[in-house]
Amino acid sequence: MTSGSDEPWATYRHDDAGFAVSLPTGWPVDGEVDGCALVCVEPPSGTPPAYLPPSIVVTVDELPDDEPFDRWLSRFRVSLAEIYNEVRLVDLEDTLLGDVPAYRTLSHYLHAVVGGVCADQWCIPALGRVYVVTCSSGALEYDDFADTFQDVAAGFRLTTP
Amino acid sequence: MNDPPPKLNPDTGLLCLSDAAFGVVEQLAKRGGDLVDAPGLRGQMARLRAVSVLDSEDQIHPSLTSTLAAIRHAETELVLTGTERLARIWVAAPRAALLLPIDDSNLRRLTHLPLWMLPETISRIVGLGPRPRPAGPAVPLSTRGAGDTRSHWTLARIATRPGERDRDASLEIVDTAAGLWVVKPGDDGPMASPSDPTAVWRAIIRLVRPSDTAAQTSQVT
Repeated sequence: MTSGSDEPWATYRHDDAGFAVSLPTGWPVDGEVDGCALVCVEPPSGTPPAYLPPSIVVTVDELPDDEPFDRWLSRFRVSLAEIYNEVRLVDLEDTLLGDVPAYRTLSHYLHAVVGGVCADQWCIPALGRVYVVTCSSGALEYDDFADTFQDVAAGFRLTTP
Repeated sequence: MNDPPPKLNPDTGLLCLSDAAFGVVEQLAKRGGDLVDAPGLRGQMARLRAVSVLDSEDQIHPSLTSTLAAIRHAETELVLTGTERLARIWVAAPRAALLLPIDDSNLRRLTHLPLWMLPETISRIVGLGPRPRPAGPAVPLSTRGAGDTRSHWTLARIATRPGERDRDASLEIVDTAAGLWVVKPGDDGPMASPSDPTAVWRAIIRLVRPSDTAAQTSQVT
């Protein structure tokens, strides 16, 4: 795994999981978080922010042999109501990241400590897996980071193991 | 007086009241005890005292302190309208106050909420959620047709202080079975441009955020 830092966007490669993603320079990456291939959080600047720092998380699910992706996606979206508190679905979008199909979900949920949170998520089925890129921010800060999150997703690509 | 009496939940600060009673509460919020005399004022004050919104010295009930503070110190006031007024909103970070109609009643519901809850609250009121994504150029609103329209709403920011007229902005949305359209003025009348829930969600956030961080105008495509 490598993370560049000299460019406006740093490329992070996770060769074991078979993906690379572009991340904002200066956002530290943690590749050792249980259950996650990547966790990247905007570093604090000065006083602690009064809102949830924006974050980028990539997880990789093995797609069961007997489960079509459509069914997995339905299950994933239903599970948001179990994972998140008082979730509200704002947007669903079938899109392309490069030439790779991706299925985007924008939701709002209630975080016990910081309040409203927006989660922008792209599910990317490939190679018998589903890569999930989750970009989160405080609800009121979402507009500041939505373009960055879109760029992160657009920079996602599969790598040759 | 034929409007129903106000009702206060002293635990939550939720106040149900008529427009006339709200007029008094708004005056109390914005002018303190220096009320402008108006027809019915004394009667409304008596009704507010009767349900403990005001005490014997006309001090507001403690559960309403946050709500009235948001109205008094609002740096942004918004009005959400559809076929009728849906909500009035006052933003004084980190709080907001909200006045909503109650279905099948001529009472309104006055409450306060954290500012971070406001985009979701507005989205819930207008029913914002996943929609198809229409494509194509902007078209005159008058030619778009109304057959598939689910709702047509406007969230408008009102200047709350002298000299802040330039901060006025509004978001007008036509919500149809085919998707969302944003309406903007055109040379020959209002034009409807294809939009999507994410763009509308972002525009709502820009409108409700305090002025020090909010965009000067709401741009949505």
